[in-house]
Amino acid sequence: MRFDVTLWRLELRQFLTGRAWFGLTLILSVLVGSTFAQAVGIFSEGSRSALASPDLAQGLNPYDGILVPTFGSAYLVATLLLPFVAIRQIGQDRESGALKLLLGLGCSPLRIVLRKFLVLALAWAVFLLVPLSAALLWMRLGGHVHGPAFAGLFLGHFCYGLVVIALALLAGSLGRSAATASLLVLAATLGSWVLDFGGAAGGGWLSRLAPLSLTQALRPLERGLLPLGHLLTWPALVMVALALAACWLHPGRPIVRKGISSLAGVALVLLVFLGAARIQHSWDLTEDRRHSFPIAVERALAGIPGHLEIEVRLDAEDPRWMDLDRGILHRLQRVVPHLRVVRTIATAAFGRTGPSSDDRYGEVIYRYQGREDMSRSTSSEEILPLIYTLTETPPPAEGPEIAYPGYPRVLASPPGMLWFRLFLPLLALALWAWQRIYNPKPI
Amino acid sequence: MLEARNLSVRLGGQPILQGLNFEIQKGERLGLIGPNGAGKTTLLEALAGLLPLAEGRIEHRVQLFYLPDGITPWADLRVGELMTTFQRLHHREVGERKRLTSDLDLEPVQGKRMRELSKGNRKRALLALAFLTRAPLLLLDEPFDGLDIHQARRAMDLIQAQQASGRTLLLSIHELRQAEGLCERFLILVAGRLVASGTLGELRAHTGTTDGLEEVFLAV
Repeated sequence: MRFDVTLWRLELRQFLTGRAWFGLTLILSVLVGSTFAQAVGIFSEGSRSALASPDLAQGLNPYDGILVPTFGSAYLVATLLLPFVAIRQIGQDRESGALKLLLGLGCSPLRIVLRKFLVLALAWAVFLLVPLSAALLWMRLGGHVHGPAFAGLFLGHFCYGLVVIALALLAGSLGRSAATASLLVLAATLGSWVLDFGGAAGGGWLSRLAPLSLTQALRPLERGLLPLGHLLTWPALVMVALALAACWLHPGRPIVRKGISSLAGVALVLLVFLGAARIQHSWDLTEDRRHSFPIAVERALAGIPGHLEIEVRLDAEDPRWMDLDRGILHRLQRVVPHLRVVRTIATAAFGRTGPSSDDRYGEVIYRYQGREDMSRSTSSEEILPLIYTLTETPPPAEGPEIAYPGYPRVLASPPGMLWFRLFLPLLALALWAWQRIYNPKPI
Repeated sequence: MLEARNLSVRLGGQPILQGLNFEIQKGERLGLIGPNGAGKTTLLEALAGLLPLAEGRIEHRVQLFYLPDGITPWADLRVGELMTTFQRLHHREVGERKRLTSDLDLEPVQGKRMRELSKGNRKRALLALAFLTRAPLLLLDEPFDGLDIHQARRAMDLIQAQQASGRTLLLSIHELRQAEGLCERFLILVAGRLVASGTLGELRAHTGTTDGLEEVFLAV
């Protein structure tokens, strides 16, 4: 126990004496400050009109307008800077000879990697206090923050950082030098970006690979959804990356053994990803319940006892599929107990030049206990009554739904400039300077 | 205490060590000598488990600690802080650390960072860390490299004291006079092969010389 505590202190001291965390805090503070000021400015502009018209106010959600863009700075920092901090932490041990001493002290490579990971995870949580302070500042300025959605957003960025740290530690173990490790991890994070952009713009095979992008993994949480699958894939990815980092870190392990372990790790991650892809459940954390049906409708749908099958004859790139998927199917998947969705159309059926010649293209067939019905609509106003009739479910009574009020807020000047551009950088500088001059007296 | 059988190491496809067989007896000071590129450091790293073996096996029933040459670990931490860390890691008494600090003349550099130390000071600080461990077997790569004659003699005295306290030492030493003055038995490594081993007397008999280790080494 004492052995571990002492090594923890050593790891933490090693992290704090470096310049990397100081630089990261400085850049993060300035970035968050600028993004927050810009977001507040745009939100204020929108709010001016909304104050005159309550209908417009409903569209003003601080979650989308303030919090998501502000945390976007944390995403940038996690993608472009955090990997270097993590690589430094592991790379300097290899290059300085500390790794050989640690192994000689009887530390297992897994424990070495885990210590580094946990120190970096703790540091990332502290870094995230910078955008968190923007949310607190927003509340202090009279703004509104919806707790569950904000918690989901924070969790998403925290987990994204953990994945990046784990991948960076793996790259640091794989690469013989910090430069090689940096290239490897940037290939993963920037490659994710490319996949994300390519998937959104290009379609085709790139769009099929896009779900593997780390950026895409963060997107549902930015939309206020917490997918159950993410709670499996992210920890799995982190654990496998750390296990492989430990495997590659040990210079005494034969390369064949390292290779076999890596293949097994990749296979495990793929299995978890494939398994998680089948889990469609997610939680809607938004205040306006934008990803959910009204509560009365959800109660009615949750009472459907049998298996409901929906066959969709639409291509994945068809905008109607996207409307149907986002507006109906995802919502149904969260509440209908036994639901199966099948898409039965080949990609070739929908080309860029126009729709397919298949007459049945665009049909959505609903089957329940030997009965079926068909619709081409993607609107809940048409589909829900169809499902009620097909499943013999009594339609819910039209209750008074509480309309989302919106939270317009007009601020005259950009807030928090001193906090983000002066106080936080000075605080980081003071802490760094104290660490540099700190000279613990031997007992 | 440690037994190497048919030990071979390949790096980048090239054989570096080939078919080495030797034993390290408990409580001895064993000198590993050989020309540059003979594979001394590779052998120490292989014994410490830091290099995969191409063939053979190493059996040791005790924990060992390997101190590589030319390293600057935890470069931003101070000497005193590191020594305290090692003292705590190995449940050493404060007095033991202070005695080592004094014996190795490390008081003036206690507040300095590892990266700020001269080569000799760094070597002495690292020796202190090695001595603070409780590993019964110490593998030291060039323990006197960078030390002046006074410092080297003091370090030799400390190594002898370590042996007297029950430790076993395998020392890779470039300077043959130092090796002759310190070690009881020698392994002579040339081009990755163990060409001779034994006490100075045994090596003299083996090579037919009556001189010191330098002559024996040249004769081998």
